[in-house]
Amino acid sequence: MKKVFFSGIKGGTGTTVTVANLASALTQAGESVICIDLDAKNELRLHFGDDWDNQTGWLPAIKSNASWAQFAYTDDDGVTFVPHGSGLSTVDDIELIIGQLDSLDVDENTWLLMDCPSSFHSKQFQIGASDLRIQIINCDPNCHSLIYQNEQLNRIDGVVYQMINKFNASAELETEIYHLWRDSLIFLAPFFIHYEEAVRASLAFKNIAYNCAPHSVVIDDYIALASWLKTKMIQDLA
Amino acid sequence: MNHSIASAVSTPFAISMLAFVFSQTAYRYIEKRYDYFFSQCGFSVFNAYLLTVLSLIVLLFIKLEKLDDEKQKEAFYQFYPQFKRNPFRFGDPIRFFIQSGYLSLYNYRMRHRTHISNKIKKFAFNIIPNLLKLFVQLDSKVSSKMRNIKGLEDDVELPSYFQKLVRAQFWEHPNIRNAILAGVLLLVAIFITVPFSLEAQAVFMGLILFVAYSMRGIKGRMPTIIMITLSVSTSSRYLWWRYTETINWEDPVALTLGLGLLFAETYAWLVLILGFFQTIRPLKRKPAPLPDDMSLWPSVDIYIPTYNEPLNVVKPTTIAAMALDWPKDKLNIYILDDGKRDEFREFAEEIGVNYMIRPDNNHAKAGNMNHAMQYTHGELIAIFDCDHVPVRSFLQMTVGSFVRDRKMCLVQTPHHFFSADPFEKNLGNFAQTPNENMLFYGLIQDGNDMWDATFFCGSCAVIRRSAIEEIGGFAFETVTEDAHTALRMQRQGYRTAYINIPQAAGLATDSLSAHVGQRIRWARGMAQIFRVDNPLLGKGLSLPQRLCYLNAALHFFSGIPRIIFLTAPLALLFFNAYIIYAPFLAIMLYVIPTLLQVKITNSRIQGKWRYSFWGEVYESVLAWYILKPTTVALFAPNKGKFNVTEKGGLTDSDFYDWDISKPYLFLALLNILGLFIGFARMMTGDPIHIGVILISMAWAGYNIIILGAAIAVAAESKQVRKSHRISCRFSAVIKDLQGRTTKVKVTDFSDIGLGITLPSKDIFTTNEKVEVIMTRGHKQFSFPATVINTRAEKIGIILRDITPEIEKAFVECTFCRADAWLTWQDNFEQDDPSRSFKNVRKTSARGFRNIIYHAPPNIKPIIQMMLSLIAFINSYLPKRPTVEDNINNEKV
Repeated sequence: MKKVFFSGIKGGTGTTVTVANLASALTQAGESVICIDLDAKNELRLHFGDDWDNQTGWLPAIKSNASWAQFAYTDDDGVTFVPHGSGLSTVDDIELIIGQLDSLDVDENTWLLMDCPSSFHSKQFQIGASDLRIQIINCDPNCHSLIYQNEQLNRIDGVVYQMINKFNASAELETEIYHLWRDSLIFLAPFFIHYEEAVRASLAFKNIAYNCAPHSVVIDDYIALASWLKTKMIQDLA
Repeated sequence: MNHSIASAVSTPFAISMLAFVFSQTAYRYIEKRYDYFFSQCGFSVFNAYLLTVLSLIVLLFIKLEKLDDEKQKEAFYQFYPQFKRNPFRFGDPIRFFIQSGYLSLYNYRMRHRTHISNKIKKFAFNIIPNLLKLFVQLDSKVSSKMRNIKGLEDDVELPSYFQKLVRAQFWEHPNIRNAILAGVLLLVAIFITVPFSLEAQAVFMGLILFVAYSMRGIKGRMPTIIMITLSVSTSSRYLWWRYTETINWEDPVALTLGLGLLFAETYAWLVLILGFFQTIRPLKRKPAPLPDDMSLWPSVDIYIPTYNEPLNVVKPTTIAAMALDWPKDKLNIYILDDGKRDEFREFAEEIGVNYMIRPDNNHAKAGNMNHAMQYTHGELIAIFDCDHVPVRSFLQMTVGSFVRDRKMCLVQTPHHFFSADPFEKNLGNFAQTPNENMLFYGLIQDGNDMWDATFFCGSCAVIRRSAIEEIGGFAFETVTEDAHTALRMQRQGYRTAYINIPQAAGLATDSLSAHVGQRIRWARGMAQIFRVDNPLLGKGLSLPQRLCYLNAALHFFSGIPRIIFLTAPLALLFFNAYIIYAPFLAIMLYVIPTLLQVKITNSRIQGKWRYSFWGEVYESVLAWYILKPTTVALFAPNKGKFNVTEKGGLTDSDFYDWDISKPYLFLALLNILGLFIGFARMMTGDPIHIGVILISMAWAGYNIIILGAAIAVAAESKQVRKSHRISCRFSAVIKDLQGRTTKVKVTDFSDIGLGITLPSKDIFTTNEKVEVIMTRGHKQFSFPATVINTRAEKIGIILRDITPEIEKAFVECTFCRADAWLTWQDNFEQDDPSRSFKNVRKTSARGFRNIIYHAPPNIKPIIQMMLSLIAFINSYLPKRPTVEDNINNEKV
């Protein structure tokens, strides 16, 4: 099982939408993918066209001691996802579910993409050495200061890759920050995901940019992300 | 029935009456025929009626229902191609009978024979390659057998006995080498001078051509060297024969003209031999890597000399120079403005490069750079003509050689042109046929590099300051200061290098007269160098270097010999002067096989950079114009001044450069006249002469073709865009105002716009404001732009709100891409002489059509009349059935 944990460095960096699009990119590349929404906002499901009124998910399931695997849905693209479900999950809940992941009855090549809340600190959980952790950042001063605060407070333990989302090449400041980071952050992913209006807009169709804007440059970016993850996985296994 | 009633209105009564006599199908046929003659061919009612009745005769021979059958019609037209898609003409029955007569004599089995003869040809020409293969196999088999017998392991890595013999040490021993060399030379001398009977010559040339044809298909250096050896020996034999047996001492006219031709032939032979020598082993040097320690990288001054070029030409070059990948503290850029223009000073200040002027303008470009050298201090100097835009990797590719070799004084890269030169423009073969430059930069320079005789071309090159200082600055005694400077450095024992990777691109000269002017300057410069500082004499050069320079200079003296070749056949036709004093058969046996042999060899060596016969065209265009300046410069080297090559202009309208095509027109007319005289003499003269007259006429015909192509070059075509569109292929992203992005392919660019192919139609509308995002290395740049035209998937955009920063970034993303010009040379296929000759012929025909099109109005009708007369006669001549092609196609 290839587990990848995504979390934003702060709210609103575009983690959920990235996970949803990445899932499609990987599926199209012939991989089998399961997305699990660990964020109490319970939003990931909407990108997959889930019914607005659907309250089910892993949280209600474990609260009622039922098997949460039955609340996995598959969307039109072939991506399987497990919604968070209504309610507020605690650190313990999340720890519980992460602990149960290994016992899932799936193929060992299956990707498990976790959409984690921005408050997610990997230190608190048992994350295997072969699991990837990716922090989504935006090219702005806010993220810049957060990155260095985290570093100083030693909040990060082990390898956490950082990936730039919503990059806008026409903003001079973003370009400058990007170059600063390229030179200073060791775990910065070697590509970025461009800012694209269609990424936001496609939620209005309860869909993702991967399907709504096939000619957009972000499609290439998501494909780049997918192949980067694949090589990272192979490297880590080796 | 309805149909016939309706058409009865337009059909005369007389025709309608026929309905009672003929069957319904036959009547419909008649009706159709009449309608065809009357409405489509425009004959009068009476004529149409008459022809309709006459055409009824056809029905006596052909079944009516077959007439409408498309297949049958096709078959008819295959055998009678002259009727295809032509309306009926009165002469058609005669044409029909002529063609029928021809067809009854035409050999239908011919195609089978050609098929078989192709097979035989293929078999025959594969004999030698197959024998070679067999030998190699045999050798390795015997070797492995012997090894088995000796009980050695059969290791593939071990060399075979033949290889052992070839690689043996004793070949390297000087005495043995000299002995072999002497032996070979002796053999060659005997071989060249021994007289052959005609039969022996026939067998000999047959064998040589057979070997040459066989070798053509084999890849590798060895066959090339064999072909060169054969060419050298046959052409030398030919020349020996010319000198010893074919001079007509009796007839003073023939002697004078004959010696002229002999001079031209000797020149051609010399150039051929030197050319073989020069290109026998192109070095194809790879760039030397730079040391990892950046502190060892030398500092570089970039000189951009300019005189009268507009700022928009100099801008991209300067910006690109700033974007070169090199430590910023080791890179200094200087605009050396001999025009002393404030506009340039402001521009330099604005973008932050140095601007330099001098009190006088002595010694033109060389003087300008010598002046700059007093004030700059870089270890290396890179020179760009102000219209050559370097790509960012230029210094990375070139400087390594200087770091590795302390005696390296010059690294030259090719001059690549992104706009069509006048030849390409006027012939419309830009990027289809290798241009005039390609032979030099693709092959000859690589060959020169082998002999350490790289030619300095004045731009797109890096030189070592200390070397220039040692020879006392850039040479200014001649108008080609570049070549002379390199020559002087080479005399001091410095080494030179050529790296055949286009690392800069510029505008080609855009009018023929400017192009000719530039060549005149080079020709004059080379002549001056030979007078002022003769590379054959003086200290410091090796023999190969001297020979390379000699060949370079000889190339520019091609004027007189070319004119001689273009007029030589006329000596016999006009004056009955036997300039090659030999029997018809001897001429055939010496001239034609030798020419063939040389053409095959040259096509193999130069094929990727110069297609067969185009060299003659290029040379013919220049011949007349470089004739005078080279001769003058040879006798009075100090005459003539430096003229600046004009670039980047706009040809006002589609005009015909009568002045420039006059000499070729004159020569072409002479040759045409020669043809007529030849015809007349064949009809009236002694039959003994027919052979030589035919040869002369064939030669004149060939000259006419070459001259026609030269004339085609003179028709200047219109240049619409002021900024050149440069084709390319890279990815970019367009973002609309809402923030939606689209991946696109950029297919061409200019200095302010892009041509773009979209992934689907109707994504953008005209006048829409967008942003284009382009990548350069890890950097992304965004450019505000406007869509100016949309055509299905293609859109054109231009930048808006241009600021100096935007302009700079745009040049960096387009002109400076390291891969911008790399694929250029791969576009051309290996030469195919027959196809190339076909293209020259086509071009030539266009040249003559051009004359008619541009002829003065009072002559036009006469030419038109003559042409239509020729076309009229031609329409009666029998035509070869087109059936053959179809069958061949099917087989393929």
